[in-house]
Amino acid sequence: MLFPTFGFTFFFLAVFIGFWYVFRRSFERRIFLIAASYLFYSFWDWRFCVLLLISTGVNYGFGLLVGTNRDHIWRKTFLVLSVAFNLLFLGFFKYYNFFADSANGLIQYFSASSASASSSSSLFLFPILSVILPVGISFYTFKTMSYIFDVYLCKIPVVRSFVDVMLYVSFFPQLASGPIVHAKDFFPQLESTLVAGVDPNDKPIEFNRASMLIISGMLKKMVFANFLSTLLCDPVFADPSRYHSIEVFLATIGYSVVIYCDFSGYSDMAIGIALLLGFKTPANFNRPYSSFSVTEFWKRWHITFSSWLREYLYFSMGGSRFGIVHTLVALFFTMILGGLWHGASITFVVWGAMQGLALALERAFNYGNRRNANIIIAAIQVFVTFAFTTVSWIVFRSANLEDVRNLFQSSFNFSASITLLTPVVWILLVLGLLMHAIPDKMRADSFEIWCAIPLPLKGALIALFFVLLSVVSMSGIAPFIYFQF
Amino acid sequence: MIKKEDKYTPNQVIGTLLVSAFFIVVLWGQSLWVPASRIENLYLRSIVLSITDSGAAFASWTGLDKAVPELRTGFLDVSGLGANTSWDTRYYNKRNADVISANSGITGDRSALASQTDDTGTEMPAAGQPSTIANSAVTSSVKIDTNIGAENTSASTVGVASASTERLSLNNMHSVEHPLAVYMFGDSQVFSLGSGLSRLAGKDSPIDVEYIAVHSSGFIRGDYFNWTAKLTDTFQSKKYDAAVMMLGMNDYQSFYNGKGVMLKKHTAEWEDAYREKCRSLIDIVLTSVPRLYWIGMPVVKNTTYSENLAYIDSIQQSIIDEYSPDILVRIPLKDTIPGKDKPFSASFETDGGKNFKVMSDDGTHFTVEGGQLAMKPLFDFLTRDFLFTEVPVAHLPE
Repeated sequence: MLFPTFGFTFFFLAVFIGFWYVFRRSFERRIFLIAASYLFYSFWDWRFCVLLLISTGVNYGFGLLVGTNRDHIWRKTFLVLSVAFNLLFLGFFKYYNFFADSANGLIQYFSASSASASSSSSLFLFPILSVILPVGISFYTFKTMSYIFDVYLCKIPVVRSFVDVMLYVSFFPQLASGPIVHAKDFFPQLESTLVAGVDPNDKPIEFNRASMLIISGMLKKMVFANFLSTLLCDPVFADPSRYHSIEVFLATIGYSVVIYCDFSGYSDMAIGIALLLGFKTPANFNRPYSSFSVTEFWKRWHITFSSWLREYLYFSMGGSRFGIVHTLVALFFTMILGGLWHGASITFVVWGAMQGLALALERAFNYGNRRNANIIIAAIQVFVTFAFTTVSWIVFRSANLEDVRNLFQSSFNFSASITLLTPVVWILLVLGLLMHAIPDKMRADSFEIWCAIPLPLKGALIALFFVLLSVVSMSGIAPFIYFQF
Repeated sequence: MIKKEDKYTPNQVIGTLLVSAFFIVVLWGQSLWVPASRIENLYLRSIVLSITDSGAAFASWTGLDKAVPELRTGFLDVSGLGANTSWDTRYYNKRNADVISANSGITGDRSALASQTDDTGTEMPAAGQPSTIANSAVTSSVKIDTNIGAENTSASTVGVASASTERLSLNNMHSVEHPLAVYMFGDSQVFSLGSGLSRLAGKDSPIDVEYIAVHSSGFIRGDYFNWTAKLTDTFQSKKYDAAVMMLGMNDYQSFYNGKGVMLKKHTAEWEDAYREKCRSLIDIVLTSVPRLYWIGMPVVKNTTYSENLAYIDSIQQSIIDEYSPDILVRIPLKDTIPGKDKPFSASFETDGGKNFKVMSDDGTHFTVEGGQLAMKPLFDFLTRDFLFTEVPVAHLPE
C-alpha cells in the first residue's frame, strides 16, 4: 500500500480515529498500532508479517540477553550472535541467490577447467531458491540491530515489553522504506506519546509541520520525481545510445534530482504521517546537494542510514581511535557495506567504494569539515561535490558496469536529434536543483507564515494543493525507487 | 516575528481535514472515482465508489467541479504533455471503457480474419517466410467504438476491407532508410522488453522499434487504461509493419463484465470473458497491422504469482489456434528465459558462457539486458518474416 493512494488515505483515517478517539489507554494504543502496522504490511503479502514477527521475537530475546547480563563477555557474545542472526536473515532473502549464482558459476568454471573433473551431473551446485524480497526488510532489520546496539551501548535500557519492541519494529509509517529510526530516538518518546491527547485540552499533534511535510513529500514525488523519471531519465538510461549527448548529460543530472525527490519525498510523508499520530522522527534529508564535500553530503543524505553506519558500523570498526590508516580503511569498508545494503550487485559495491574512497581522501587531507569563506570557492566546492555525487548515481542507477560504460560512451553522441528536452523538463531540472539552495532562514520564514494561517483556511489550501496536484500529475501510478531496498 | 501555534488537538485536526475533504469533493468531484477504482478488493471498491459517486453528484450540483478538468486540459496544452502517454486524458481513467469495450470491438465475423489466407487463394507460406496474405481483403465490416469520454466522443466506423488495404505489405523491402516499423505495446514489462528489442536492433538499424509501456495495464481494467481506443487511434495515425503485444501481467483479478456482473477468477465465465477481451484487442491490431507477435507470460520469482501467470498464459495460448499463424505469432517468453521447463532464475547464461542478470530485484520485471536476450527469438522472427536489403544484426549484450 503506497502512501499517495486512496487506500492508504482510508486506512490512515481509520488509524487516526482509532488512535485518538477509540483507544485511549496506553496499552490499547500499543496493540492497536501494532495491529494496524501488521495489517498495513500484510497488504503486500501476509507472509511478510511472519518474517517480521520472527525478526522481532528473536531480537527481543537478544535484547533481553544483552541488556540483563552484567558480564561484558556474555553481552558481547550475544551482541555478535544477534548481528550474525540479522545478517543471515537479511542475507538469505536479499543476497542468497546472488551468492548461489556466483558460487555455482565458480564451481562450474573450475570443474570445466579441471581435466580430471567428474561429470557435471555429480557437481554440487547451490540450489536457486524462489524467495521473494520482503518489502522493507533492509529497513526493519537495521532497526532491530539498532535496538540491540543501543541496549549494548547503554544508550537505552533494555525494553522488557515485547509489545513495545513489536511496535518499534513494525510502526507502519517507517516500515516499508524508512527512515531507519534508531531505538534511542523511538523508545524515550513512546510512553508520553501513547498517553497524549487523553485530556481534551491536550494538544499533541504538530499539524503544521506534519501537513507541510506531507505536502512537500507529495510535491517532490508526484511532480519532480515522476515527471523527470518519465520524461527524461527512464528513456535515456534504458538506451542511451539513441539520445544526444546533451540529453544523456542532463538525464544524469536529472537522476540526481529524481532519486532525491523520490526518497526524500517518501521520507517527508513518513515523518508527517508519524507526526499526525504524535510520533517524532528525525529528519532524513537536509538539502544534500548543497554540500561542499562528500563528508558533508553524508551528514545531509539519508541521515538515519548514514548515522546508523557511523554509530554502529564505523565506530564498531574502531572509528578514528586507532590512527589515520585504520580510520581510512574503516571509512572505506563502512561505505562498501553501505553500498551492499542497497542490494547484491557489483554496481552497488562500486558505488559504495566510490563514496568510501572519497570520504577517505577527504579525511586523509582533512578536507570537507568547513565551508570555504570565499563564496566563489565555496560554490566550486559545492559544484565538484555535486558532480561527483551525480557520477556516482550513474553507477548506482545502472544494472551493471556495461551500462555505465554505454552511458559514458553516449556522452559523445552528437549526431542524434534532441527529442526529450522540453520546457517542462528544463523547468523541473532547474527547480529541482534550486530547491537545495533555499536558505534555512527562508524556509523558517515560510513555515512561520504557514503556521500563522488559520486552520479552516489551511484546510482549504491543503485541498487546493491536492486538487492542483491532480491537475498536473501523471495519469498512472509510478513506484517509489527506494521500495526495492 | 509571527507567533507560532504548532500543536493542535485531534478535534482541530479532524476539523481541518473535513474542511479539506469538503473542498476536494467540491472541486474534484468528477475524478473522485479514479483513486477509488484503484482499490483491489471489488466489494470494498464498490462501497467506496458509491461514496465517491455521491460526492460527485454533490460537486456537480454546486457546478464548481468544471474547473479542474478545464485546468487539466489547459495544463496539458501549455506543457505539451497532452501527447505523452503517461499524461494523456483520452485513454486513462475512463470509467465506462470496459462497458463500451464489451459492447463494441469487432462485431463482424472473426473467422474471416482467422481464415483470410484461404480467401486470398494463395498458397499459405511456411512459418517464417514472407507472406502476402496481409493485404488480402476481408469483407466483414468492423465497427470500432472509441467513445471513451468527453474529449473523444466520436465513434469511428472502420471497414476491415478499407483498413487492410491501407496496411503495409509484408513484401516491402526494408533498409536503414526505410526501416521495418515495429510497434510494441503492453504493460510495465514492455519497458525492459521494448528497450531490449530497441537495443537489439541497434542504432541506424533496418528495424525501427517504437514501444509504449503502461504500468498496471492489461486486457481487463479498460477503465484504467483503454487499450482498445489507444490502439485504434495509434494505427489510424501511423502505419506499422508489425506489432508486438505483451499484456496479462496484471490480469489475474476478478472483474465486472459490461453488464455489471462480477466474474471471478478460475471460472468458465471469467475465462470466456477474458478470451473475448483478448480477441477484441487482437482483432483491432490485425485490422491495421499485417502481423502481430504476442509475447507470452514470463516465469517470475514469486511462485504464486508465477502460477497465476501460467494460468493467464494458458488462456492466452488457447486463443492462438483461432488465428492463422501467418498473422498472429505467439512468442513463448519462458522458453527463452529461463528456458523451457526451467524454474525462475535471476541470471541467465548465454551459449557463449556469459552470465547476465536478466531479472530485476523485484523478481518480476526483466532488466534491459534481460529484455535484450528475451527478445532475441522475436528479433529472429522479424528478420525471417520480413524482407531486408541487408540482414539486420542482433546487438546482444556483451
